[in-house]
Amino acid sequence: MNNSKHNLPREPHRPADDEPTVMGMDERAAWVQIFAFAITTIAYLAVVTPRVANDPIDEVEWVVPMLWALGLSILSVIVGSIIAGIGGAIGLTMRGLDVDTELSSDSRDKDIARHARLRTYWATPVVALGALILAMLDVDTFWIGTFVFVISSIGAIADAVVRIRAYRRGFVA
Amino acid sequence: MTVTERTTIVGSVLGLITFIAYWTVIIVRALTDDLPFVDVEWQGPMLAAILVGGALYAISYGLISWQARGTRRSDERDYEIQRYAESAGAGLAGLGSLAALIMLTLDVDTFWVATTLFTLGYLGSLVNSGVTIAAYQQGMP
Amino acid sequence: MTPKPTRVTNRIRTLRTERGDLTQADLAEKLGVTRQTVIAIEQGKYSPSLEMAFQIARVFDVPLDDVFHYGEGDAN
Repeated sequence: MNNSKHNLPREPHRPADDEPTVMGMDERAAWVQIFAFAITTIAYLAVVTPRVANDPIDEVEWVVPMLWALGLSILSVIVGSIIAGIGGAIGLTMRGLDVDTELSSDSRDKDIARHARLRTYWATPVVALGALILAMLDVDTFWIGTFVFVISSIGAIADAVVRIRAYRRGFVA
Repeated sequence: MTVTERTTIVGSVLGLITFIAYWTVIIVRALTDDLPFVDVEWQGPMLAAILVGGALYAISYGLISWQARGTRRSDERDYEIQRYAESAGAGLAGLGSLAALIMLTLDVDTFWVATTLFTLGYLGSLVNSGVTIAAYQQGMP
Repeated sequence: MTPKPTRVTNRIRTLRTERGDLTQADLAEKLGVTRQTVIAIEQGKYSPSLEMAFQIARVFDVPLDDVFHYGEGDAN
């Protein structure tokens, strides 16, 4: 960080028009969501794929990796959001801006969250119906569990991507 | 009453009938064959419930729409309400999927997994219907 | 995927200077939103709700279509 160029840190002041600021809290949360689900899903698949290749399906040990993946994704969303929040607060303090007015959630964030939810909710009924059909076909529980987890993760990532696009490129309700 | 409201009410009634019919078959089978639920042949009734229920709904939807032929069928408000209600219902279905996943890791019998998905999916569709009707009668938030 | 094209444009930036020399931060405070949201509205990257549109007009004490313009092209 080149302090002299950006003139940081600055004293607390009222921001001028178009003064650059840090990424908002909800946008940060979206990024955390993408990383959390993408990484845990890839890790789960990485652990489980060699097992599928080597063992017969009904002996594939998938439960432990799945529990880890579930736990870690929830945990990393929580921890990631906290860290992102702290990073934002630090960034704002360095710029001499107020955390409450620059980082908090407002109606635009709710609108964008709702917009994303309306566009990506399809993943949920797909997961439920798909899992039901797989259960009816008496498929091995490994496939059902993996299907539920992977498609749900894709849905969560899609939700976050829609949100980030709305923040960056703008969206019309 | 709009086409959507009518189809929603019909859908709720059909859903209820299907749900009750499925459980009637399962319970009857469990009692007459003296089996625990998990050993009942549930896949057939489940498939029938989905297919027959879906077919009946499609037929009634077609009838109601045909009755309203010529009028403008779907506008922006209908589309918005539909999406809003479906996302509201999806919440419950999602909970069902999460519960099912945890059950799978705990090696619970697939009968219960399927039951959870089926039941919470059905409840989700009830939420969907309720929100739809409410949105038409009282407006959307 | 570009956002749905909208024919609504606004003169908020101009009105801020014309009517009381409000900064984006001032306007944001009056509306109860973050400064980024005001910036997004001004840049046409976010379409405020009908309620907020009226609130904005009220801040400047002008009619709604002094703030927002619906039509082809122009704005500020």
